[in-house]
Amino acid sequence: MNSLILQVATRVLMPLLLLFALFMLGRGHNEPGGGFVAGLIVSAAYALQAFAFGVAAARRALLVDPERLLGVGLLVALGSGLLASAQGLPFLTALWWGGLGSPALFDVGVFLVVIGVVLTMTFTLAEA
Amino acid sequence: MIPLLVLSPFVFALVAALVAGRWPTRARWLAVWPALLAVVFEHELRTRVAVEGTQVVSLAWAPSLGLTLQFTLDGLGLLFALMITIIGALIVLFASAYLKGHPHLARLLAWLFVFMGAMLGVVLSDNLFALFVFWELTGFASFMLIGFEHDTPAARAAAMQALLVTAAGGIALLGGTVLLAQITGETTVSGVIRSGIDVTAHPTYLACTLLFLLAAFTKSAQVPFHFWLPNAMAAPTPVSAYLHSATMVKAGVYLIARMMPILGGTTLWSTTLLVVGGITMVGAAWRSVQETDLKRVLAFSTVSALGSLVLMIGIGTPGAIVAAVVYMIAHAAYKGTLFMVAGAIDHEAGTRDVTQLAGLRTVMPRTALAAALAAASMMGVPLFFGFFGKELFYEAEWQYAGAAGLLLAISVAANALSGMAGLVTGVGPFTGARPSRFDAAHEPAWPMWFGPLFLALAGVVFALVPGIVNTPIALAAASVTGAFTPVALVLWHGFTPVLGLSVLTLALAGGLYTQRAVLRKGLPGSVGSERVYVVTLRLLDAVSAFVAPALYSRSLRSYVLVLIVTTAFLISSGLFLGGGGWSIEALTPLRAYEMVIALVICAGAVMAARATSSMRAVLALGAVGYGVALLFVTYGAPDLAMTQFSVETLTAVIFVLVFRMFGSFAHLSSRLIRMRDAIVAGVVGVVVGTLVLLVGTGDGTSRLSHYFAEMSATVGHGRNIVNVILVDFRGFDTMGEITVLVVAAIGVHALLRIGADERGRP
Amino acid sequence: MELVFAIVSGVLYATGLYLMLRRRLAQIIIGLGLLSNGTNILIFAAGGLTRSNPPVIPPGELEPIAPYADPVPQALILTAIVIGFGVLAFTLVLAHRVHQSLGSDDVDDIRSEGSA
Repeated sequence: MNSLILQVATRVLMPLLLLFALFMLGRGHNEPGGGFVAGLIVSAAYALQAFAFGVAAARRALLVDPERLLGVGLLVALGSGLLASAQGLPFLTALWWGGLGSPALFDVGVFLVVIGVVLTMTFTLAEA
Repeated sequence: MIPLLVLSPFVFALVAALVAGRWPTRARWLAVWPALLAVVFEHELRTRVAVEGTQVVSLAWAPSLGLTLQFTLDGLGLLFALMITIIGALIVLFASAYLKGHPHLARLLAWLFVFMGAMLGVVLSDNLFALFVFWELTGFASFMLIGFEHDTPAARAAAMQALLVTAAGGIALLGGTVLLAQITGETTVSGVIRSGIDVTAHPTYLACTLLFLLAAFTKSAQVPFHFWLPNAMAAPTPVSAYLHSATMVKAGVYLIARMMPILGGTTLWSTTLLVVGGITMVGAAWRSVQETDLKRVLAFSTVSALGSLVLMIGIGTPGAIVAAVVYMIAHAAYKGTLFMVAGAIDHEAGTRDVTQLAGLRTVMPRTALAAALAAASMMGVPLFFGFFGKELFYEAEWQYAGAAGLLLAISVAANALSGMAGLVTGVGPFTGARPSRFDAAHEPAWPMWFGPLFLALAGVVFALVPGIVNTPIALAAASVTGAFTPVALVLWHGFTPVLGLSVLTLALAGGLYTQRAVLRKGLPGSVGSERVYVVTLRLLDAVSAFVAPALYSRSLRSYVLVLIVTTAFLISSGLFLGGGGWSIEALTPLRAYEMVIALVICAGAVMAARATSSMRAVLALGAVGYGVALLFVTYGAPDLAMTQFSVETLTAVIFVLVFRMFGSFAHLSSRLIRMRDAIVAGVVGVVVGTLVLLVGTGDGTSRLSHYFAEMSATVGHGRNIVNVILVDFRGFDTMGEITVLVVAAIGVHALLRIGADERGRP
Repeated sequence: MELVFAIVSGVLYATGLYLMLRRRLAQIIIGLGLLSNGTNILIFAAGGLTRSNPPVIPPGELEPIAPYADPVPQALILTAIVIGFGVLAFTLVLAHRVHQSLGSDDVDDIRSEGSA
């Protein structure tokens, strides 16, 4: 799919989409948004990249293997819960330090898992 | 410490598998561990329980869940534990020589250790549910051991029979335990006794007692559930000696004795035990003398002995309980010996047919000595421990007010017959002229005569120095009767009527032995309960052969159809019965753009269903998805709308990538089937629509939602309630959900990559 | 408006189930997609419908302004949407592989090959 329009549009859209996703992730706790949506938007951005420039280019742009994100994301979510266990509280009890809390970390875990899942599927499928 | 020791045989099963697998010639050293356990239990019994009373030891299993494994060390439990470990050690020793060179020796030993651990669990657990688990585990170990020679169909059939019969009893045990827990609110034996609740006065006492007795009767092979035990002789001889004579089959007797303080003391209790025990005792003794296979003779005489034990507990007087304990120790010793002797004979002479065997004493002198001592104990010859058992048994019956005469008569008959069985198995093969075919036979390796001789000598030593067993017997009896009375066994009572009965029994046994050929010939005997088992199994087979093909059609669509129709039926009957009404007035008025969205969705859905090309179907599905997202926007769910939009886009991407597989959507089914499916689907659609209409007009938000709405900002520190629910309130759920996602991704990855490897192969 | 949801979910269920009763794997998967949309609508409607405020608390307040949409079914549906996507993708790839290995996308065909 070597479409010039698609390629140019992707170049413009990629940073916007990624910024928008981070914005969604950041505000998710107070306004509509959150890890699921943000992860899906990032995935969509990289799927677009894969269509425009090929999977290899998209993989390079992602910097990490999406397969690795699966594990990292799960570990981040798990770790946010274990923070409470370390203090003798039940697993996944929310801890807050000012405006920052372990639920936010959990949401980051969800965000990473969603990216990993969607991109693992899309990239493997595109390469098969 | 003690709980770990009780459970240690399970670990040792692994050790046994490793050691015996790698160094089969060293396997006999495995016997050291149960011997050490026996020393520990002996020490506990004499220094702790005898002095300080019952000991309760527990092991915190999962303290946060309130699970602890609690063991009670009292006289009864420890006596059993001693028998299990001492005989276990001798059996391991015996088996290591008996199955020398057998490719699966390691497996046999491993399962023997599993059984040992399970059996210790049965006799030492205080918690009835734990007892049930260990009880079933003994049955499972027995299944594996009976079926040890799994390439012979007879062994497989016998293993399954034993499993089915005893597992049915296991279920009864579970039922009885649940009932008992409901009556008393306690799940431990000690707790039930401490609660002081009179279980016998409770309306469910009858059911509870019958369930416990059913469990005990199946495990201890009482008529009419006895038939599995003789068939279990398909197991290798060490297994028969250990499980099916000395220990496991006594678990039923143990259970009855254990439950007696709780369930005993009623007419129901004693009558059932007396009748079942009596019939078993006489019937099995009768059958034993008709058999010609050494092991089957022993098996039936074991059933008879178990019947005697049940009968004695049924009498229930302190004297009868002491008699039962003594009888049980004596039986474990002489029957264990005779089984191992039978194994040694089979091993050396190559046959177990008692009509063939003769004159082996000259070639197997040590085995012959052990056999003779055991047979004497079994017959109840004075100066042997078996004599005490019979003596006390007769005495308890003599003093029993109800039907003493009848009980004595059948007991003398049964004991005479088992005395004869003792002669047949312990004396017959060794006396007389040796046929030349046994010239090659010789004394087996020491591990095979040591165990029998050890147990047989124990029968002599206990009789000559009864002081060493007085305390354990008294303690075991005290666990059953609830009150400790010292026991002092004496060999000589003077000339009493009971002594007369003992002499009569001996004389009868000798007389019957001379007529053994006549007894074996053409006398009716077999009890037909095994037929019932066979017919029941065939019936089950026939029913499932009829039912299974009807349910298991191996067609995905018919499963889906059945599921759909059932679900729709259940929902609609619920709607119909629930009767919740709705009225047109309750409906909120429509808006034009909502109708447009709904139209788009419905048109997309219908188009997807009718599509004749894959392209169209995917487009239609996309239209549906975006339409649904728009509905979410309209009804205050921006989070859902955004998620749905992104997912729809990505779904389209995935579909495009797999597009290659989509060919034409030309119809495969006939018009008639499509019509049928359309009608079924349409009906379900109407049911679901009605459901939505009813719940949608129902009472709005739930209490749960109010809770979350109130807590979100204050506790959750977030203003987007949906997100707070996802990452905080219900975080554990989300954790599970993202794990599912990861699994799906790995599945996709694996499916595609594994396929790539296969295709890449030359 | 309840009528809208009733009709929409009814139609989605009917068409989805009709497709799931077909013999082609691809059609079954499309049916699965319709069915999960229908179920989401069903759950959404079960929470009660309000054409109004999202369950978001305005800045400075402690509770959302009534009437607000029920957040519980929304949280359920949100994960259901994403998991639905995961399952759909997995099924699609599974069907793709079946098609590749057995050369057929007819469920009845695959069955007879499996039993052979």
